[in-house]
Amino acid sequence: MISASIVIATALRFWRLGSPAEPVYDETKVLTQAQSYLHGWRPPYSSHPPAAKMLVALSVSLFGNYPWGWRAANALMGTALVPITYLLARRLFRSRLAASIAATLILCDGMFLVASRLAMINIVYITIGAGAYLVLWCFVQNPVFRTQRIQLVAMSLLLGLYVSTKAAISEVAVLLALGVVVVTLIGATPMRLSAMRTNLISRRVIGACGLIVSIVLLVYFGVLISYYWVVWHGFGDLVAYHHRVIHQNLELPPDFPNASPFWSWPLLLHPYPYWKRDLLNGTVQVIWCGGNPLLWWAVLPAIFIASVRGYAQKSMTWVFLAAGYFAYLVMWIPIQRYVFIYSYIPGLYFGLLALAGALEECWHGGARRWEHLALLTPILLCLVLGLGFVWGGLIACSILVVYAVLVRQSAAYEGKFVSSIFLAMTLLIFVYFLPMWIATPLSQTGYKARMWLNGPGLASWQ
Amino acid sequence: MSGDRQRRWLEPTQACIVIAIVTAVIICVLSNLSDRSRRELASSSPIDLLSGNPADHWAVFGALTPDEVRFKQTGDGVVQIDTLAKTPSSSDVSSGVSYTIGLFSPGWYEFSGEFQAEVDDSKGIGAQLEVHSGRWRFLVKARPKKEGRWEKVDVFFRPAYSDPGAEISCRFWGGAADQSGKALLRNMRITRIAGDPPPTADQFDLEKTEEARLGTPERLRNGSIPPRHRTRLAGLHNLGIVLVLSLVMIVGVCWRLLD
Repeated sequence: MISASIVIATALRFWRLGSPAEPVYDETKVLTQAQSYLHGWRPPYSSHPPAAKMLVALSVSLFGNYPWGWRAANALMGTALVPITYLLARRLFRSRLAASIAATLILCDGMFLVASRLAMINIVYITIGAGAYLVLWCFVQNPVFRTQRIQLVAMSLLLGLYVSTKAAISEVAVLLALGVVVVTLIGATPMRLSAMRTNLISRRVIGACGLIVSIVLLVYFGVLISYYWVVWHGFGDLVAYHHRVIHQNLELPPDFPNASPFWSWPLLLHPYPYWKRDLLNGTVQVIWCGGNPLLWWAVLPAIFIASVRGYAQKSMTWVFLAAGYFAYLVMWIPIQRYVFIYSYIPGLYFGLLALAGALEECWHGGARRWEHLALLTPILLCLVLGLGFVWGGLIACSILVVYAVLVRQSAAYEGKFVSSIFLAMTLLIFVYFLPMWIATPLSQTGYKARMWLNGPGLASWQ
Repeated sequence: MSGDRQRRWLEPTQACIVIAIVTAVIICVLSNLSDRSRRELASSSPIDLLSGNPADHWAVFGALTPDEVRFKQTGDGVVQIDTLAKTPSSSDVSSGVSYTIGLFSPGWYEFSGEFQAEVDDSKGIGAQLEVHSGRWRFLVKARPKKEGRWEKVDVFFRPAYSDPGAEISCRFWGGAADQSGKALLRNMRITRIAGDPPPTADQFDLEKTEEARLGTPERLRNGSIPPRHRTRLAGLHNLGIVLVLSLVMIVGVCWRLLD
């Protein structure tokens, strides 16, 4: 499965990568910053650290200053995310099936696809973050304490790159990793050393946390200095830069075109086009900043399942997934400035991992009936919105009838049915929305048919 | 021994991953080659903006929708644009048709073309042809009472590094009750020229402008690090080295703590 996922991910991310042949959305900003780096110019102000822009600069210098060259490095990062997710899910759930489902879900979500096909910063930090979580779980499951140190260093380097790519969001990952490391070290310390136990735990916890934070800061300073070397005049500039970032963000207004409140992201209420062209031949080309609606809506029950399982089973995996998801949402509560739906990606990533675990439990018969129904609900919603009340309702009723029959007659297959129907629907909806993520021409009618929410207010897919 | 090694190398999972990576590399190379061929096709010869079916390349923007605009080939290479807005346009609504093109071979380009439009200044009805690239915009307004006379546009530009492309637009505006408009375009093309443009021609070096905007470290406008803060914190220059050395020391101490 991992092999197939690599090939499919590459094909999806590199197919007509050079189209549109112009900078899309924030690509202009990123390209200006990348060009500044390549030419040794004064870097224009950016509130995010420069690692992703340096990657785009590397891509331009390797492949040339044209759209394919701008986007190639990010496409590679987006491709790498799929096998990394496979390996991470395999670690988390100790199951090849869960790993395969997780890789499939990442492949079938448009937000990850779009981020991988544009020279912007989102896919870079998501992939680096996923790599850091993978190493974190290698650390958690490693019984040999001495080799755990090397894993801590590797994870810290990746977290340092994450922090060097995206402001604010990345700090959540560091806190999450610190939390998991502390819990692991406390849990792993042998109980029989009760006399020395507290001392040993303190020593290990302080050592691990100190190691992580120091390496993260070193990487961050290293990246920042190498980018701003043209205008770098010492430590004062570092303070001044962060001072400016904080003040500029505090001064930004709460509203902006296409912005949406953070609580609306899980409901997929306000996606919007990064780029749209209404051609005179009646077709529309669009790059839609929105995900696979089935996956987005199913993440909500999946996270609820993860929370319940984490609490009931005292499972670190489920707690990690639920905590990661909530942390990436809760962090937006104090932030007053305008924000956009693409900032949901790190939380969505945790949600999709939880969804993969929940579907795997369904397949193996480990899920309860309420979990089946919770995962079937978003399918029914998509059917009604996509096909209308008559046809969508009919198919939804058919699915429920088949499920009810399986519950009565062959309980062993009810979970398998839920998993299968969910994955089949995920693939169908992915194929249906694919043209909107890769700028394939659509008829005006086809485009409007895909705009499932047309409200005048926030609930509008535009 | 060598048989064991060979068996290890031929494990199905590893073989599949190797095959997958090789396939992925092939896909990347093919994607690049296909993109390169399209790009070379565009840069090797003049780009005629009105050839083929213009409706496949021209898009609408602003208040107009595609079914409110008609492109018609009227012979002699002239393309007529008819707009029939369902809702009357007003002068504060910016609408029109545009053609966007990437210009990825570094150097100078010439845009040339001719256009005419039905305009009436007294009624606030007007049209203009625009060439824009990055932060630069060159525009020529259609002149009134010159029915039948073509406005010639000839401009040279060198795109910026960070935005190598151009957009050609024909923008319309009208009075509050105005619904229809007409413009004619002909001989519109973009050509990459060898060397520099004639000194007397309209020319815009966006590459140089971008370099001037960003390329001089002493220029402080819109920079990343405001100078006022730098001055105030000038005494902290060496603190960076102290901080980095301290962090390295902490890493060493923590490493030992984990021993």
